Amino acid sequence: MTFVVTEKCIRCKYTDCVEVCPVDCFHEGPNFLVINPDECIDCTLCVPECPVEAIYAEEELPEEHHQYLQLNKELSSVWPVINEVKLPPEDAELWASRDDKFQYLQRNSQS
Amino acid sequence: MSQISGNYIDGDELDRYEDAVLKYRRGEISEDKLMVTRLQQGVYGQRQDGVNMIRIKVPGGRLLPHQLDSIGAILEQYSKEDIASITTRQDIQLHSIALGDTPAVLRLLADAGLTTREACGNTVRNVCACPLAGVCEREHVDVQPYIEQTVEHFLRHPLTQHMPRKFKMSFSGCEVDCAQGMIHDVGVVAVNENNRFGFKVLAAGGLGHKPREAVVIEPFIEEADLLPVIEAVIAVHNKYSDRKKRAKSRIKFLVDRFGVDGFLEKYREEVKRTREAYASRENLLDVVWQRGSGEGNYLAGAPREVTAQKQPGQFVFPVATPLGDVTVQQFYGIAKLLIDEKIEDVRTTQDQSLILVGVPGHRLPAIRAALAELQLAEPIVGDNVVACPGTWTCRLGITSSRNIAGKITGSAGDLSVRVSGCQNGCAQPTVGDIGIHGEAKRIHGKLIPHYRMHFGGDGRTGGHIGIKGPEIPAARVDKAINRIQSVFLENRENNESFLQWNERRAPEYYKELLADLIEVSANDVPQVLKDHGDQKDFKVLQLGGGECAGVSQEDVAANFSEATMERTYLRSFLLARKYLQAIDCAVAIARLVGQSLLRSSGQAFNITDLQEIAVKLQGGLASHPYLVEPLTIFAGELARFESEVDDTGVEQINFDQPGFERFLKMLNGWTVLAGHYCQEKNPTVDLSPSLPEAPLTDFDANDPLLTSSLSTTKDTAGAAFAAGSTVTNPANTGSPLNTGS
Repeated sequence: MTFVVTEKCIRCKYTDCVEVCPVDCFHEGPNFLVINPDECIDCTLCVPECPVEAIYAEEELPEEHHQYLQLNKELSSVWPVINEVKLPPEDAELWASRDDKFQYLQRNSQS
Repeated sequence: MSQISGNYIDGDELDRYEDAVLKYRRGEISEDKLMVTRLQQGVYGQRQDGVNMIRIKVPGGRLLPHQLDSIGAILEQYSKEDIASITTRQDIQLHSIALGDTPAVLRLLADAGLTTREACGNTVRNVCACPLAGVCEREHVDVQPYIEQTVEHFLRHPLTQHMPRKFKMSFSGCEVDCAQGMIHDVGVVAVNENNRFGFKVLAAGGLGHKPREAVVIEPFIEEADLLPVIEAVIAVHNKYSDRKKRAKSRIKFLVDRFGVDGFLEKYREEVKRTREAYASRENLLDVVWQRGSGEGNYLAGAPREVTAQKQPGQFVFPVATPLGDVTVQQFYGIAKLLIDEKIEDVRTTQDQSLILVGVPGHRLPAIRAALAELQLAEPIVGDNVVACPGTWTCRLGITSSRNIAGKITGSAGDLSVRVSGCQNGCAQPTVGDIGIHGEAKRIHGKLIPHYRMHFGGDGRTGGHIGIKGPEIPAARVDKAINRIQSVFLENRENNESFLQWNERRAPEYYKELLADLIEVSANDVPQVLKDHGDQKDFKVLQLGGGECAGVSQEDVAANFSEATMERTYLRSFLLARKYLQAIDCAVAIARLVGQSLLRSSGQAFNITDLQEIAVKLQGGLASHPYLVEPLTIFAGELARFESEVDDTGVEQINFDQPGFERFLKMLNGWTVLAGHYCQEKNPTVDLSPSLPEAPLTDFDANDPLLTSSLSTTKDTAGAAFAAGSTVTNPANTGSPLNTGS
């Protein structure tokens, strides 16, 4: 099993989760974070940290976020590890309550 | 001084457990199904396949000498390890026992009067006590009888069988609160207020990730009020705690969610009901209260030296068992010694040690000598180090807590040092002088074992959760602990304690003091790559986290359990002629069971209105009209009963009590049929303990209510009723609805 970061994180990217991860398995993209499923130990610590409730256990992943399981796996193999908290984007709060954010996901800094 | 008197054993239950293990080994039931039964009986999985940890509950930490003897014998015969462990919650854990042997072990424990029931899983765990209960000059009362009353009440209690998450309690005999109520889901503290004796009650504390200090929910209650108050907190937990996200489901998170005032409001709503429901019961125990001083500088956890009891000429003799380890020979030897010396009270402590209670002063030297032959002695300065099992056996362990704990001491200052192998807090690192918990950090591309440090925690009255210190590579954490202790001993003022010294320190202080140990340069990596005791580079195994049942199944099981409780309350209210409250219970039962039907038939289930639930069910469960139709009728009938009582709900001349009783029989019958349906859809959980007993024989086929329901649904409903009844009584070939009439 693993835990999975979902859409709610896109353009919010609060990094409270990376501070508590006991195995440093978060990876950072331009406007989204992902969990490396091969390293996550299912400790659950990141879940209550996330201010926008973006993180789910794989088995509790809502149907509509199913694609994020694969996305976490794929992007964690290319994005670098993040293990220190940083400031969220200035407009993070505005994006926190938005839905349908998949369209804004940036896979690399050029796009 | 009271002795343990509770009988917590149920032989039939052990038969069922043995049956489940056999079925699993023959491939007849799934691993998940076995897990639910296994956890309920205190049997956990380990890191190692095929073997289990068995956790023995020891209420208040109190054991009898012959029980130590039995544990020794079980350890010798069945465990692959040389030792059993005393835990910080006063349990005793046996490790590495083959699954096939677990039923035999549970039986031997039962023969010795020991239970493992509800030692694991989402249950009321072992109840802790202050170490000197019954013998301490400070105390107002020996809390042990109250602990036993509480354990007996909540063990196998319907409300505690499917809680969102585990629930821990502690009891202390005076205001000092050595049992550390602050870190418990419920902490009970005996107090003397204005010359009245009673209890202060704390709730919603907890350790682990996101530790929280408990809030006071009752500054003073009478002793008879204790069970209703605790039950109300459990009811709040059941109703509101997050069942979806296990990481947020301890009761402490409700204080975050509702705020302290909001949490208290929810509690007060519940306690109003439990108090009324319990009003007719007598809970007073035959216990002597006395005015203790209620103050003094007692240690949390356990005494560190021979201590005089309030009983003249008698002493408490503490026995150090480093890291909680006790060997087979030590179990046998201590048991024999106590039996020879006619000492009947031996206790586990929150510091993972043992204390012998009621030792006559003139026998102290003999006891000391006899213990020495078992390689045991009183604590020595510096050995107050506590550790969880960590990667030795625990599925959740990240670091080898026991290996590092063996290398560190509490120094000449005799500090309490607490080592956990992960963030879950089993060694209680946030309430020690110095605590550390294991984690991994990725530095220079390598995963390096680390410990997060905590300083100055104290779970007694007036104390607080420790401050968070820096993260140090595991390879250097012993150096870091030594350095802090040296600096403290050199710089402290007037022999102050570490807690006092730490009050003047901020996290930044420790960060500077330990800066060179925190920093890992690229060149340092090879020196910090290994965990203590490991030959290979550090790696965190993926073992799939903790063990727990699936969410959907737990939702349904929880609803049926809660309905069972509502039936109990309903009876109390009827006895007291509180009809309005009784009707509320019936509404709750119909709602809880209706929601379970929604959940089991794959529909949204967060609907509370009975009519609405009925409408949704008509859509999703059209094939089972016998489950759907009665609910519509119930809603109408309940509204009718409600109209017959006024707002006060007290005795009403025109309340149709016989009609209400008849209605309840139908509600029970429907509950059973719904239970069978839900059981079929959720095979992992066992709903049978939550269903009303033999209700189908209570059905009256000629009941006008029922016949109207049947006539509207014609043959399908009749057939369905028959199908439902044959589950209960396969021999029945006649009409299913009047077998008892």
